[in-house]
Amino acid sequence: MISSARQSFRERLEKWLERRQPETVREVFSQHNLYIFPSMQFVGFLVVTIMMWLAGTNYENNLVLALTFFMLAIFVSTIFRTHANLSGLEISVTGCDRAFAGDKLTIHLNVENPTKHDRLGIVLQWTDANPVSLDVPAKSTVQTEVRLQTQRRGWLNPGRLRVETTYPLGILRAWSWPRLQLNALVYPKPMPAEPTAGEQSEGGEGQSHKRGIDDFGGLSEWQPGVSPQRIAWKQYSAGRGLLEKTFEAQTLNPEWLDWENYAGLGTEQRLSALCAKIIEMEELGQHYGLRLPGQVFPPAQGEMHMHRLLSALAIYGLDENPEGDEDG
Amino acid sequence: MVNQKFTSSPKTEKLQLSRLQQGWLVLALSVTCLPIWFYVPIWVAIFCLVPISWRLRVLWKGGAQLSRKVTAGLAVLASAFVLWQWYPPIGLEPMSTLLIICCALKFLEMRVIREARTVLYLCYFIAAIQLIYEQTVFHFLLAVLSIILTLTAQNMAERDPWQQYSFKSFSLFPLKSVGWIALVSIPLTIIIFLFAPRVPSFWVVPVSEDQAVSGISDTMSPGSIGELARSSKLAFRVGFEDEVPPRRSLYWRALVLSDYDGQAWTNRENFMTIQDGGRTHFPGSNRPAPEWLDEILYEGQPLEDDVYQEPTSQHWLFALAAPTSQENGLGMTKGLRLVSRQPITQRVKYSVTSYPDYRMTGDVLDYRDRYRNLHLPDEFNPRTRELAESWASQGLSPDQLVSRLFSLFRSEHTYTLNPGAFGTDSIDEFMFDRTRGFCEHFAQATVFLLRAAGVPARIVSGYQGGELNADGNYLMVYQYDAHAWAEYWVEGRGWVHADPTTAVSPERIEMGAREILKEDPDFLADDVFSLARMQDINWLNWLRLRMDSVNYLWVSWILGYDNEQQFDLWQGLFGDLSIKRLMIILSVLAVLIMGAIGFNLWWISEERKRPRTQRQFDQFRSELLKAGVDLEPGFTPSRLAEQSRGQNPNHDSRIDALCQLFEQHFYAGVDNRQKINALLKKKS
Repeated sequence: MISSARQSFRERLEKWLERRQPETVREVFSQHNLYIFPSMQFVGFLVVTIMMWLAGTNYENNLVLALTFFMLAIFVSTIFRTHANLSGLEISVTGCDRAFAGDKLTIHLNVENPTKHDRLGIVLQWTDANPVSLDVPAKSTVQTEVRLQTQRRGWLNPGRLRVETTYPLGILRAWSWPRLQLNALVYPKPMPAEPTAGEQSEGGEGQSHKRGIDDFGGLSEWQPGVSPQRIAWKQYSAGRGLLEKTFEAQTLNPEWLDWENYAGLGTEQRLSALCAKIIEMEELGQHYGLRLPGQVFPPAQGEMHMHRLLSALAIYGLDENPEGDEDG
Repeated sequence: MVNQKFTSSPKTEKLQLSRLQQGWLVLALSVTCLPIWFYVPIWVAIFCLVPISWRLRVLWKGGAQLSRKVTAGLAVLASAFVLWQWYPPIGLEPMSTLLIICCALKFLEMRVIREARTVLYLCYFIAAIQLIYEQTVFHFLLAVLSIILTLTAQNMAERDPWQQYSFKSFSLFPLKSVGWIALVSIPLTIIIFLFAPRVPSFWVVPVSEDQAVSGISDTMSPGSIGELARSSKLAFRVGFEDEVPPRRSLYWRALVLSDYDGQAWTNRENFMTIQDGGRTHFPGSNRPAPEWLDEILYEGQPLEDDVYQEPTSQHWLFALAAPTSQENGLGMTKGLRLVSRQPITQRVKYSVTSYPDYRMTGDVLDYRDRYRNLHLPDEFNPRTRELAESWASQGLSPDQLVSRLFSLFRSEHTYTLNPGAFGTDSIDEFMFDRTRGFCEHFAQATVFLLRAAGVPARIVSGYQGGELNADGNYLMVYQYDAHAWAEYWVEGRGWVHADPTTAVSPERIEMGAREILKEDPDFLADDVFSLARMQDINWLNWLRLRMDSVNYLWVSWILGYDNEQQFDLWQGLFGDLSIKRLMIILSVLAVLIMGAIGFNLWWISEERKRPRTQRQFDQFRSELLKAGVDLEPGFTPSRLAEQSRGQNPNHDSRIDALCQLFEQHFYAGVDNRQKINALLKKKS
């Protein structure tokens, strides 16, 4: 009962927040998206103020009462000061690193302070991650990064970032919940596994044609994900459509990593095994290609190639796709 | 400029304190505890200085902190000391002592920011508590300073402690930012102070009554009033509504001493008030008014004054004859005095309405009063008794007895501050051997002689006169104005005032004690450097009077501000206060405050600083969004028009034109603001 009530509250809160703070690449804090409430420390402050008031009232001492009211007035002015400590700041994502599931993924953020006042004690935190605390001097930009723990492959969605401050006195907390657009892709966790089938393809003389970069072998239909260097621009300009130049590799036997080689394993295990294999091949300096159901990545070599393949593994079978293109 | 900064942080609460943070804490704690050390026993100060200096040593030189076991042991020790000093540990002193010790020990053991906050919150409370002991301007300013320093230390605790602050980077910047908050808070503080309702005390405040405060006492032995002439401490100030009455009528009654054991005169009225309530009438209480109240006729022109009394730790107050008061917790006694339910442990203000022309029906003196006011122990002062009996046998009336005695005083006695010590038959010795004495010797002799002659009589003690401060139309009454006089009973008239000092030294009454006694070596002997001694140096005297009138303003406006004055202020500001009017005023105030806050937020908002056209474009964009057009942030105006053309059923040429104008404005730098305004106004 309680948890379902909490759930429905969460949903409604999220709906309300979505209206106020939709997804964005850059959030400017103002009274439209800042919230403020007394912090836990305020309890101590309140207890002291009440005790002062009791003492002042009981001893009928106007000076003690005056100090009590002074404390109250300080609290009221601190509301404005705390709010003003966030208001006007701008936060934006400058980039996201890639990571394997289970590792930490780093998100690079810029916090900009275009105003004339220093902003101290700004804390950034995504749900479970360690908070980052920073000071943003007047008229300057601070670059910072947040490291998020990843659980599984796919697009990382850590939810809303919590930007908060309790400066200057700690008795009030002003915060905002921007939903920043991230392009954070998590690769599968690499876990080497013995291929269960298709051992013979390893040999290299077999049924599949080998593609490499050494000798020109002919033209084939262009497929997404192919390097522009391989596009047959001459043929394209002649109006024959996009074609890919393929090269016969003779000295190097390109390695084909095939989804079907791991038949019998679950989807995630297969992806993890392929992931480990890709890394291994890249480290060996091999040429390698990848076959996934419905997708074929011709053999190549290099960091970009590796990332392209790993990305394909990361989003394999997931239909959600963030807007924008990944840029390695 | 771009700063590079990487911080990964554990939870703030568990962080170690930096040296700078600790430094500010030490400063705040020292200033806060400074005044209160004068009111707690010396061992407390030593007890607290040890942890503070240990901490300072660690701060300065580094080194190990004390283990928590040591701190716990110290806490137990301190509690034992407190119990040893005060048992049961109730009251202001044990409480403030415990507070300070807690604060010092917590300070000694604190390692992380969370613990530092406990110290800070204790500091706020200690800053307030010390004002219960002293209420001068100076102490108040000191308390405000303590609070500001504590706020600064709290502000420091909010700062990034990972930065390696050192003492070299010490700056007053945090004080500045907190000072700004404090400054902004002052107007609001004043408003709350003026308008927040005052609530009466919730429970009886325990106070120690044995605090030694100089002043008149409820037991009078020969020489006890004379002792007070050595002191120039202020007893109380009195502000008058109208003209200040002449000095000769200013007899401030404090005590009525009826009980005599042969040596000392005692006031027992206080004790009886508590026991049977019969001799004191508290106007606010629900007890029926006692019978004796009917015997006093409060008649004639009333005299209104406000008394600002310094603490005495006693119950009695100071008022001119036939006092009445409507103050809560104040009572009138049968002896025409005012008393307070609570002992006066701090400076208080009370309003008194006196009736100098009061009358007494004076028909009956109940048997108990008659006995107490006639009682004389048999064995003492035979010669005075003999004289009284011989006068009584001549059939003199009480008035004639008094005038005869006074003429005897006038012809044979001298008024002096220090007549020396007396033996057991002190009154005989004074009457016939030494013939020198101070006011209390004359009063005692008068009462003794009247009682011996069969006339009920009693001593009244209090203060006489006072120095007028013309600046504020108020009187300053000092300890050296202490005085004692006599009252005797006349059937049909009641208690009659008789001051023998007027007979022997009328100047004392006309000009005041200071003028008469200033040549006396014992006068103000305890206050060698007192400004009161130097009243003949004009500029010093001028300075003294100015300083006192500042104090008087402080006392009467800040310390004396109460429900009554609050009500007057309301009335002065808003006229007669009906609920309806109050509601209107409160709503107007609320609207004004909200308006001010809203304006402030708008003023500081980034929105205001953006160019108007940009805002217009944003609004235009959100209107399109509402119309169902699918838009992404960052679309150019032309893209907007394109999107709208495809998706907006209400798309028209106006939207196209506007988009074109916006495009020109933002990307070609064309100043077409007037066209945009015109087109936006023209709603399709």
